[in-house]
Amino acid sequence: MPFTLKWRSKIRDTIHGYLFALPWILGFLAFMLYPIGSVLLYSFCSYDVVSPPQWIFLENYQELFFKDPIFWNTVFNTLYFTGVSVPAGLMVALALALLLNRSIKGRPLFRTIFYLPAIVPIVSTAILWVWILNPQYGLLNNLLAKIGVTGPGWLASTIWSKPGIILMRIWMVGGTMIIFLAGLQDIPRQLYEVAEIDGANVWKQFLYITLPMLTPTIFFNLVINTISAFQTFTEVYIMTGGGPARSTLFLVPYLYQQGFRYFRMGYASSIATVLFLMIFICTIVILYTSSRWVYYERR
Amino acid sequence: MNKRIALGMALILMVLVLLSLPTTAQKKVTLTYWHPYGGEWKVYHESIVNVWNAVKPYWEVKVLSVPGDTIRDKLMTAITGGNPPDVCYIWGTFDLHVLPKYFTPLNEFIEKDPAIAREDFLPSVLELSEYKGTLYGLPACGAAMAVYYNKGLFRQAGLDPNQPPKFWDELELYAEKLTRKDAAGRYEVIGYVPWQGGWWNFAYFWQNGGKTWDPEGQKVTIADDPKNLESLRWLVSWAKKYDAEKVTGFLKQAQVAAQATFADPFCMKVQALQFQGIWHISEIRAYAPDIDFDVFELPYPRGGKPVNPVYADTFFIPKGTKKSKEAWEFLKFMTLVGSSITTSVGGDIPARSDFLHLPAFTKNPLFMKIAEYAKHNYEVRDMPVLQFYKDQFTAAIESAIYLQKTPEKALRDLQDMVQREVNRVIGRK
Repeated sequence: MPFTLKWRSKIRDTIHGYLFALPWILGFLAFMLYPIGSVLLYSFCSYDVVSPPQWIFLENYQELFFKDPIFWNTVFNTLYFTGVSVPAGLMVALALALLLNRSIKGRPLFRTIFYLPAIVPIVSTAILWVWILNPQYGLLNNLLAKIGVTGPGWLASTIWSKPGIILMRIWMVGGTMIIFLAGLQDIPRQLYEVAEIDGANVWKQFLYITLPMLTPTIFFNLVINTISAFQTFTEVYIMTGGGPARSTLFLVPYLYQQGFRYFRMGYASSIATVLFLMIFICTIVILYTSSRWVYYERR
Repeated sequence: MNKRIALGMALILMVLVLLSLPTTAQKKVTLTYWHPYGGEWKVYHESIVNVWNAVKPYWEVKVLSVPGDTIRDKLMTAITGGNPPDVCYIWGTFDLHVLPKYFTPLNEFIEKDPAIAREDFLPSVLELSEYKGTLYGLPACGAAMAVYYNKGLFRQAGLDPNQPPKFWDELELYAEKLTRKDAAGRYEVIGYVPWQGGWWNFAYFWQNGGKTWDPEGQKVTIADDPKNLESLRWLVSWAKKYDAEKVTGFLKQAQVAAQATFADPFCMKVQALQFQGIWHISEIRAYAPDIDFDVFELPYPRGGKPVNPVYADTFFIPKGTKKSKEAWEFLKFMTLVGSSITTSVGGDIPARSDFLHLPAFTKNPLFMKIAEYAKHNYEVRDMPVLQFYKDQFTAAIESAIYLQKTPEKALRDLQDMVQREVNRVIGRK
């Protein structure tokens, strides 16, 4: 290729582009790639943080999959939690967004109120919910009593502890709701007008206009909330410590225990790697199936 | 031209100001000291450090309160990062196999220093920080436990407050009489909750003569010894009788935050009998002074023996500190002078046997009563992963209490898991 002026300036532009991106690249290498790579490496080692890591190849994974009963328990707990809290959260957030999309008096005020739980620090929320979920004196069971239902033991019960934390998660859907609101407002009004002229009722409009046009937003929220639900830690750490009887022990609190309480950083790294693979596979599956149900309007 | 002059003058002015700032030219020894106390305990603890700072003008000990269990995580990160505190105080101690990696051995210091000798300390307490003959930490205090009882509730239930229960069967009867429910079937007062204590529940196993650990063979024996199964079945019988879920839910009203002593069930008069440590005396006196209470030793089964779970708070000098000699001096002070004050105020058993003769302790008859129970300390020697054992034990008891596992299975799984960890740590396949 002739060393023309045009080619030289192209090279220069490319170099300049990379130079501009260099700060981010360095940050990514140092704070993302290096730690993630280290975790991957340590998962093949026995590492107690103070001594140098010793290479043991797949022993951590062998112990994890074949000899550790607690691990499978935590996988079940995590999948249960994610499987229930994410769809439920999406539905509640969507319902709220639909309600708050109508022109009602004081709409900005309501939107703020519903968004507030998302910005309260999670530790405060956790402590608050320990009280709300208190079986004898908490708000929730008192409300249930008013409609004649005896509330369960919540965080004191092995069966109801996970639903208790799920409820708390759903209370915090403000952020998801805001994103749904933005998505709703992107739907062109003419579609609804045309549908009304054709005689479609509210439910049909929702089913055939709102939902399909909203699928990109649903897709986004689904992926983001799933990733976040898999990584639940603070609620468990503050509210239950994994109990009662390990019913709320999720993968991240478990790996924290192994790494920081029992000084088994290598083992904790292998749990983290497994978690990473789980989230990765889940996300890939959602991505590949998305072409079937997500509709992007081509303008 | 004017601009340049102005800039030049500003620069000169700045340099002059910087030069005139006072410089710290004295040779000061600065140490950092971490402790886990918060709230009012923090004030007592730090006032002792201030005494040291006042008496030694060329020393400055910087105190940092790292509350609760977070001190363990932060300590580990600090030691690995090469930036540890010079002295630290931990509730309890660390697993033995971890000690050589994290903390400076103290044998040399003790041998060379006439002020501190091994014999000064209660041996059962000293051993908690000793691994393979090397001492890594100095105990700040021990612990003794007793059952606290609310005399008022005793009288209300028609029981004689001067006749506390001594054996398991008596305890069951008393607890039954003391438990009250309201018209809707919810608990108003709970008599006794035996599984409340987490790892203290080991006491019930040891009282019955059950062996939980074989130090020579380094074997976990909690499932092999049938006496342990008896004890667990006894605990589960309580859980079935009183409905563990309901009890925990009832008690949860008082257990949101670990240090919220004012909300403790005994202080809130909703629990009549409570197995707690000797430090609870000062807490009850502070938060529920109207309760007329006394203590008795934990009841044991007929044919068994009284037992006190050993526990100690420990001072450590982390590895990686460059001032280990100075740290030792400060550590000596905290052990000889400091811990006498902290234990008498905080209500812990001093780790040094000579301290028990101090008037601060002898003037407190309730304290001395419980201190007697420390004579029944049960030692668990050379258990390299004691913290791990305690945690898994607590989880195993919970799984039995909440009827998720049969007692046999709970103990068997516990033994397998802990034995695996022991084998891994000591390098046995």
